[in-house]
Amino acid sequence: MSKRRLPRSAPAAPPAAEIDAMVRAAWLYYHEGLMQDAIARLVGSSRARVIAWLAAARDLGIVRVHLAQRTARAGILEQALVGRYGLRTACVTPTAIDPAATAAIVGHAAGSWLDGELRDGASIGVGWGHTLEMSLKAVGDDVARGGLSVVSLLGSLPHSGAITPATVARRMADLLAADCYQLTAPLLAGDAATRDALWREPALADLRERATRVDVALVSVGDMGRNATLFRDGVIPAAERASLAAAGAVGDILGQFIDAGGRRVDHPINRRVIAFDLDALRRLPNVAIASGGARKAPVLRAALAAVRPATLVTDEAAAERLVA
Amino acid sequence: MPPRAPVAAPPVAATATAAAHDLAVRVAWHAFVEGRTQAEIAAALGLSRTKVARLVATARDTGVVRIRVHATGAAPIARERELVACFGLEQAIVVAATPATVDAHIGAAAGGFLRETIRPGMTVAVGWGATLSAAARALGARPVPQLDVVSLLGGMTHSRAINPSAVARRMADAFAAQCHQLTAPLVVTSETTRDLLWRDPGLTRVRARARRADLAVVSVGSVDPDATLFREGLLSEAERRSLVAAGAVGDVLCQFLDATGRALDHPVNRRMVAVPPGELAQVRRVVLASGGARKVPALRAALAALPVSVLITDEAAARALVAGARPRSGHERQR
Repeated sequence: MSKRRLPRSAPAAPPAAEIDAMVRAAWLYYHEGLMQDAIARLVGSSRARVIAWLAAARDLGIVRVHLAQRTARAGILEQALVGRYGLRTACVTPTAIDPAATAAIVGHAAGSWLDGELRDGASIGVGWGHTLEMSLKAVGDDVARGGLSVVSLLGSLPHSGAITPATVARRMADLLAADCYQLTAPLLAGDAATRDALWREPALADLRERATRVDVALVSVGDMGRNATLFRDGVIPAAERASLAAAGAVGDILGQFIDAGGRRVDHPINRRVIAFDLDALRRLPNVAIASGGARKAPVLRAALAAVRPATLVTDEAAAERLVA
Repeated sequence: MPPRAPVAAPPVAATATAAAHDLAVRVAWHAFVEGRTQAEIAAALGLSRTKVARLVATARDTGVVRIRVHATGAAPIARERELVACFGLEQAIVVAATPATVDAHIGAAAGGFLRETIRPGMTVAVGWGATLSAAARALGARPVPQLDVVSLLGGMTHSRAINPSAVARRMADAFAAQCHQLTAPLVVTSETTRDLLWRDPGLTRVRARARRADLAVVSVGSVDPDATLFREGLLSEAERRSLVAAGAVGDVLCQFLDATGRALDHPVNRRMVAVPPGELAQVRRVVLASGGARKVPALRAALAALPVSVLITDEAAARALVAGARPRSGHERQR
């Protein structure tokens, strides 16, 4: 996962004049097809600033990109993944030139996939992570659909920068003008007893029940690297990373750590996490797992075994390893 | 590098056109989704810059990529002065509104006030409700360095726009601020669960941070059936009646108050996961934003319960508040 593209706080929102400059640059670049230096000459600025405006316009969602086509290589990998893992569909993107942009590129494909699955009245279960955050740029683009609802599949963080499970669900609901159902509980309870007490709360129990009825679910996976979101943000103490790895964990899905075979590892963290259960996730009719990068291949393989999803969204780097 | 996957090459020799299309798709992903420059793409794929530029143009012209650009798009001074005098305020802002627009207009005014007031390094504690939700939407986007936004209330499992956590989240997003949330249900079933939650170190830290806020922005709710807490089903009609019978005129931060601004000794008040209004005593500036004729008793109670320095309301409520505060004749009432 990326360091550069994982801000600890929300991306800086620029003043109105700067937004105007971005919109103008984006229009000239994308609609009129002018090169960056031509735009710079036209608006009396430098090429570097034009490039920065264009990047910011993309990051802020001023520019919406729709790109659903795949390369021939991706098509071959998709077929191989479907055959190997019993998927209904696979979506494979090119591998990002900059590994830090993996979440952006895979997230975009995940968002496009999700958008294509949505019908009027659909309910959507969502996990979290940088890939899902980036998927929002490709969700809710063209077709208006009514009666949608979004359900967050895991608890949240008391303190957060830009990315928390609650944020992903909330922003997706905003984009789709959907009802939002939040798991208003800490992602990691102090102990199993507190977790159980919270699950006994009728509101949370209702929400868990609602999650079993979602039409489509989009989740991601985390690896065991120091920079995986759960560890980097200190949601799970750094000390636990070694003991989780010692217990056989190769990564997590919805905050639940699994071994290479896709089984939940026997570890206290797994008894404290407040999230939709993996066995229940496996029973959902239309689950997609979205994550990319070679480093995610082991946890993706484990997650495919644990959840047996209908769809995998990944990049060529991970796909090559998964079909090897 | 691990071994390359044993998957077959394309079965049929691709035509030149198909190969060019394929390359255009790949270049489009890097250029439009990943955001790489044409020079970076040329270097990574071993192509000339001219070739990449041509492929980008092809992708755009043939619809491989579709791109859309989204362009975003008189205060009644006399009442304000009366409110300042009657309630010892630092500032009052009064907007013109109809019952249908009161939340939106007060919210917009509150958003404008916050935009002008918030400075780098501040901590802002926020409540919830339709008015504050409108305030958050009215903020626009402007980064403020080292700003912390703290939610004063737990969240709702099911929500539309007025979830407490959404109000704090939107405000934090607007200012690119750090967001501190009480990640717990707003209403729990027992005092025991509430106390259990308040022992959670994460939540305790959020509460402590709220007490040290530089600015708190809160609203009030009435005890009408269509007040947010009741309309959203967080509290039942039976509970509403019981609160009214106990003397409740409305709530601040989900604590129901009597007409004099005292928090009621009522079971509902003990099941709310929210920072008690009394803990805002040390906050430098408390902003109360609420209006509409029906909220007047709740507003009056809140003005007694909280050290309010800025009141943002509408003309109807301002008139009623001033009339109620002014001694009717001689010295029947003393403040």
